[in-house]
Order: sequence, then structure tokens, then C-alpha cells
Amino acid sequence: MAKKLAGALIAALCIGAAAHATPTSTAVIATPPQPSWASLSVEQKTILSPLGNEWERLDNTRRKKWLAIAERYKRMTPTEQARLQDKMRDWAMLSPEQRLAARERFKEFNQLPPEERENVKQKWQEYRQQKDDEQRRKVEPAGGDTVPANPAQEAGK
Amino acid sequence: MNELHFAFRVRQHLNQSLQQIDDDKLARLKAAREAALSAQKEPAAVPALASAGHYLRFNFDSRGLRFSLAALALVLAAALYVHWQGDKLIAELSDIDSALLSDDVPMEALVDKDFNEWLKNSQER
Repeated sequence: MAKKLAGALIAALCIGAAAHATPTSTAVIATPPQPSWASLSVEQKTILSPLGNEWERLDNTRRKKWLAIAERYKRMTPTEQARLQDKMRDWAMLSPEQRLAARERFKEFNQLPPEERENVKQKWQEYRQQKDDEQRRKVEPAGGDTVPANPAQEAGK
Repeated sequence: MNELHFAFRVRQHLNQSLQQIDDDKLARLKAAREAALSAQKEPAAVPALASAGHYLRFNFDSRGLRFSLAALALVLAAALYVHWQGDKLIAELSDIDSALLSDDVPMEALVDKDFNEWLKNSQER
């Protein structure tokens, strides 16, 4: 009988350890079955419409999380609601590791003072521009029919 | 003298001695016997609930049942803890996800690992 108790203790410890796992392993969280897409209310379907095609593939933990987000959505401003719906699908398509890393970065970003936050957003635009330029240079044939930056200057050489 | 004969002689002797006890001693013996009988407790009527309690206590005292109940309580506590932890984690995730997705910071800026490095380098420059 002592063996049974030890077995139960080990099982309890394993379950406890699983519950303490990082958010990357949300699949181990014991979540009761969540509603299918067809069972959602019209309001929930409207809010979560970007996830319509993905819903049946989401596990119970993620469905429960999205239903909680749908509740918060109602208290957001129209601008925030639009941003959330705009990013919803792309966010759901990320890998768990990518989502975890993004959450960590967002936490850091959120702790910055407003000027710093603006600076990061500005830097992002700069970075994107730089990346686009690099991409364009790769696509254009080297030394080919590229248009000179200043044709007049080129002609004067 | 064999054993049976010896026993017969002892009994005979005891019976004869019994006849020779004084009346005074017989009266004292009688009084002592009656005192002992009156001191004996009367069997009390046991209520039904007390019987049930006694039954449970008797059975709970068995080690097997105690271990099973302890194991069951442990597993139930673990299951409740896991459920509570799961709910807490989901609440935390929905908190941060809704804040992240409704913020005006582009999601790509948070996902792009190279941007983080680039940002650090650009700040050092």
C-alpha cells in the first residue's frame, strides 16, 4: 500500500511539474474541451473571424485563450480592436517559440519610457527601409542596366 | 497413588473442609460475593450513531483504507492544483497577447530576431 501512496505522490509531483512548465508547452496544460467554431456565438465568431479557418486546428488551451481575448476585445477602443483583428491570424500562425520570444520582447518594450518606445518604432521603419534596399540590390543584376543615381553626373565623367 | 486417585482425595478433602467453615466466615464470603456482583456494570444501550462511529473508526484504523484515502486526497489535490495553474497561465497569456496585438508596435518588430541585434548595434554606434 505504501507503494501505491508513493506512486500517487510521484504522479502528483509530475503533474505539478508539468503545470509549472513554461508557456511554450501549453499543450501540457489540462484544459477541458472548448467549443468548436460552429458552437461559438455570433459575436465571438465576428471578433475571432480571422481565426475561422484555423479554429478547429487549435488545441483547447489556445481556444480558451482566444475566447478570453474576445472578452477583452469588447472593452478595447475601435483602433485597438482593428489592430488586434489585423494581427490575429499572423500571430496564430507563428510557432510557439516565436510567440514566446515576441512576448518577452514586448514585455521589455512595454517597460520603456514613451520617447524610447517611439524611438524603437522609428528605428523599425529605418531597419525595414534598409532591408528593402538590400533586397532590391540583390535582385538587380550586378553592374547591369541599373539607372545611375545621378545621370547628369554620370554623363560628365 | 495414581493421579485420578489423588484428585479424588483432594476433592474429598475440600468438600469436607467446606462443611467445617465457620458461619461467620461464610457470611463474610457471601457479603463479598454480593458486593462484587453489585459493582459489576450493567450493559448500557448503545445508540445507533455511536455504533456507526465505532464501525467507521474500526475500519478507518485499517492501514489499507487510510493509505488509499491519503493517496486519493493527494491525487485530487494535484488535479485541482493543475487546473488552477492552467487557468492562471491562460489568463496571463490572454493578458499579454491582447496587449501585444492591440498595441501600435508592429508585430514583425517583435518577431524579427535580427532587428533586436540591429537595434542594439545602432544604439552602440
